[in-house]
Amino acid sequence: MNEMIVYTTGCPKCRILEKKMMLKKLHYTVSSDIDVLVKENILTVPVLYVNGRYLKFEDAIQYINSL
Amino acid sequence: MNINIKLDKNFTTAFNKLISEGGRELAVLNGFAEEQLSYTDFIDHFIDKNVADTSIDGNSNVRAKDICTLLNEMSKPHLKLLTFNKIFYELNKKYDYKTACDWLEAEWNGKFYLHDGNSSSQLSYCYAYDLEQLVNKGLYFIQNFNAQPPKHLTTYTDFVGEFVSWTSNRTSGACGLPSFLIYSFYFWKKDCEQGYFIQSPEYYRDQEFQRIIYKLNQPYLRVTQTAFTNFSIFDKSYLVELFGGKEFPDGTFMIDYVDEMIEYQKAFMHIVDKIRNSNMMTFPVLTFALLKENGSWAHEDFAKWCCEHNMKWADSNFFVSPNVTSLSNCCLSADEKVISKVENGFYYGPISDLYKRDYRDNISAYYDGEWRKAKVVKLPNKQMYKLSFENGKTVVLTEDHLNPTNQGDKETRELVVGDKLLYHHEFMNGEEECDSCFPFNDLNDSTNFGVSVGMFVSCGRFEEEEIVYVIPNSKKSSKLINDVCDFVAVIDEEYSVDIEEEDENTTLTISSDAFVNEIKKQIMKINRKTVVDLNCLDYNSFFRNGIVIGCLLGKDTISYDDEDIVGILDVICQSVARKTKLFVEEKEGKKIYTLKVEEPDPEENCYVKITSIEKVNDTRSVYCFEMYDQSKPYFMLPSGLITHNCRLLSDIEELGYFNSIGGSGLEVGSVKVNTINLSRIAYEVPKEEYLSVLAERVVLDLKALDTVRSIIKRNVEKGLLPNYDLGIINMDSQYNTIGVIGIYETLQKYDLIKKDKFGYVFYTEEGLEFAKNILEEINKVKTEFAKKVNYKINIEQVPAERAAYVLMQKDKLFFPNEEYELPLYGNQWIPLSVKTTLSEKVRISSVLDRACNGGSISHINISAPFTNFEQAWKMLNYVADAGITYFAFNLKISSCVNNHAFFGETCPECGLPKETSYSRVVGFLVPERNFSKERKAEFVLRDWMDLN
Repeated sequence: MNEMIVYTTGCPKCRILEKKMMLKKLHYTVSSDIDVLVKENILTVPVLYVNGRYLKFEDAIQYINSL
Repeated sequence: MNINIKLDKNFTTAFNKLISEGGRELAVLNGFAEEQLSYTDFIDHFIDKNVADTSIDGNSNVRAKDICTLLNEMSKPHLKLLTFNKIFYELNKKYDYKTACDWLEAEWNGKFYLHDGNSSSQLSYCYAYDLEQLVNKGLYFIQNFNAQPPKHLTTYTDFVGEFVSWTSNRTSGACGLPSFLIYSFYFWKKDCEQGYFIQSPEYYRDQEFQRIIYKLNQPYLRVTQTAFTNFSIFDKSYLVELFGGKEFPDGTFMIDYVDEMIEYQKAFMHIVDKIRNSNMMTFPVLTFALLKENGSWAHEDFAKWCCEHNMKWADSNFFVSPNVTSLSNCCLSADEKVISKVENGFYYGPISDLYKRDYRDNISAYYDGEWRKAKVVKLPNKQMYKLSFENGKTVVLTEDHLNPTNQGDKETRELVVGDKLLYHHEFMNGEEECDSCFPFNDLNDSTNFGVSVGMFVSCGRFEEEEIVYVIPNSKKSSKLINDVCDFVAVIDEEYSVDIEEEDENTTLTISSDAFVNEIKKQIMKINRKTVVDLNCLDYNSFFRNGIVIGCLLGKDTISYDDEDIVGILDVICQSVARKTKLFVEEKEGKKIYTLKVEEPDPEENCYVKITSIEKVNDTRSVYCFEMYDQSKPYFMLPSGLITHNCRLLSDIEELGYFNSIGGSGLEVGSVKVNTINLSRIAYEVPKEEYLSVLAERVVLDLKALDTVRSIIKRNVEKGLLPNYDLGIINMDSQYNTIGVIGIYETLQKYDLIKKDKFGYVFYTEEGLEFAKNILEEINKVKTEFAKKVNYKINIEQVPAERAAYVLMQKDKLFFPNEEYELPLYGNQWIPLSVKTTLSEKVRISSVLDRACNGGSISHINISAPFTNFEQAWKMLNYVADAGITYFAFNLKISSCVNNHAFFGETCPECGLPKETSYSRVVGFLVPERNFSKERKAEFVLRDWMDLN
């Protein structure tokens, strides 16, 4: 499995995304550093980085559901 | 026999004076005439008249007339009397006797209209409830009842009916249920999975839809009338934002069912449509909440579906928002200096450096008498602007940074030269210090200590164990020397002083270990230069004022070749309400910064004028403070400028779009509405004086609303309003609402309306500008007032079903020679009875709706349903693209005696003729036969646009 990073501020939607990933027993790292978010030009949270792509909340959920 | 009601003595005096001065007609309009306060007279009149005409607070939603209505309406005049007495008494206590009298006079004579006057001291107004607790705990709000959560859709539907009744009887206005369909879907899905349904899943679902619609339209939910309920139908973006972070009771994720919820909402709307054919219903008021970004619908297919569905009855409002949630970019440049309280003292320096500190999430920024918790945030760059001010200071901000001005908050890109920005002008922590023991109990000692420190920074140095001051001779130098010596004597009995006077300077040498130690504690080094330690901001203002006196050395300027030293001294000056001006000049290749310091002036204007605005190229990240308490979203910069914080939006709580007309986000509402009669001011004063009179009236209105809020808060504390105790309503998310009515009539009075040769009415350019100024003035006063309170205030162009009539009648009594074009005041920027073009309506709404913070709805009356989808779609896009946020197309829907709805004269269902027609009298669809006689007269005059 490719590296997965969840960019989060701990918002309710961020928590749902992480919960889903945990239920699927997926390994991922969390990035909540605002510096990193800014550097990556991430303007809404949560964002999932996977397979070299950044997925917004809805797409991230769709991706996790498809696994 | 006399029946006594004990009232406040002052109130009785003021009340009796108004009765005797105003006469019977005014007393009747207020609901306080003798026959209205007499139960027997009321009963006699009740039998022969329409309820809306007999009630002192009538509305067309009260349709039945029976013993329940009589009992309910009969006591309203007395309840209103008690309410007014209570508000008067509390206003007198909280503000003063004059304020109480002014308010009563304003309500009585028609300058104001307090909505739900009979229950204003008892209940709050409206709220949009989240049903999550009902779903998880059942009817937990009913006492001594073993509440259980609903297990099936049928129980859920019943529970919502009970919930609406229970909550509506404990508020006076609308009961919003934005999450109703979301949880309805959940229970339906569960039931279907378990085979718990009749006939088929779809049949079962539609039956339940039918049940809730009928349930919500029963005219006893609020004792004698239907509850004012509203539902929102959300597009996918709204559903994801509002519910994407939530779970259903069984732990499944709402986000996984968004597409199914969309279909579920459509099925519900289909049933609404079907029911109208057989029984025309008023509730719930429906709003489509749709997202349109950069001219494109976020979900065009769904927007098209909504448009098509609305073609038949035009029964839904449209709330078209340019963004659902966004990451704000309201920021300062990386170099902008900030002042903040941090873990071990104070920070002064560039905001970008503060961001690098570990404690950046736990700092405090100063605003309105307090250091308030905040954090530093960093965001990608944007177009920057440098603003220069009349006091020589500057600031560099992003184009979308919000700036508090004398006309409300404005984005940087909206500012023009001459605009005035809010400026700190008060003593930090208050003039009368609560922490006056720091550094000394004796305030003279504190001042003298401050003088010693300030003089040290300006002209002092350490020499072994001594401090040497070289003081330029001036009229004030001997006083300064005395102050220093007095202070040394206080802290050290064994000191010695040597004073040597020369032509230009006097040298003061002090030998005292204690003194040297005290001075050392109060200074720090910046760029190898000595400056006052900012910890003095925690000490009393006498100390800080002493520092300023000491630094000035008898002059009114302080000069340094170091910007930071001047910046820190400026902060200290700001902290003792000293107004400063900054001058920068070059001398021998060095920049010299001079601060001119003025004496505090309590009357000082708290705004500073912009003298230039220039674009700045800066590709670096931008920074801002995010205040934790969003009821006070401002902070002070070291220059004294007050500016807006930046909020990273990622939480559904931020989606608090709200109006009481029919649509809102989750868990927002209003405590009370008190409407200002804008046309009255126009009749009273010439145009030049309008805004200043308006400002006074807004303040009085806000004081009255503030008092009502306190009374209701007290009712909560007394246990009278369990809807608050149980967390069903949260007062923190309820606004105090300033209602407005009569803008059109104001412009008419000042000749700011024009009519073309076809009779179409338009605002003149000056008229539109003046209307904007009116709303901006209200916003400005509201913003100022809001800084002193811990709740939010909004403005709403009120539906004013009864207020529109009462206020005009009162105006007619006071100004009988004015021209009154209509039977009552309009609740639209151009009243519905005035002929105008669609483009004019759209032009005005797009400007004024924004100034009214979305608290208004544009009704677009159309003479017949849209003939084809293309026409309807084009119209929807036209209105939305013009920037109107909230609007509805309004039709006249016929109904027969069987209450079947149709268009035309004969019912296609039963063949009977049209008996009445349904239309939005003010906000929701009601039969014309229930309108009050004044509303009926106004309805006849309404102009209906022919789209063909």
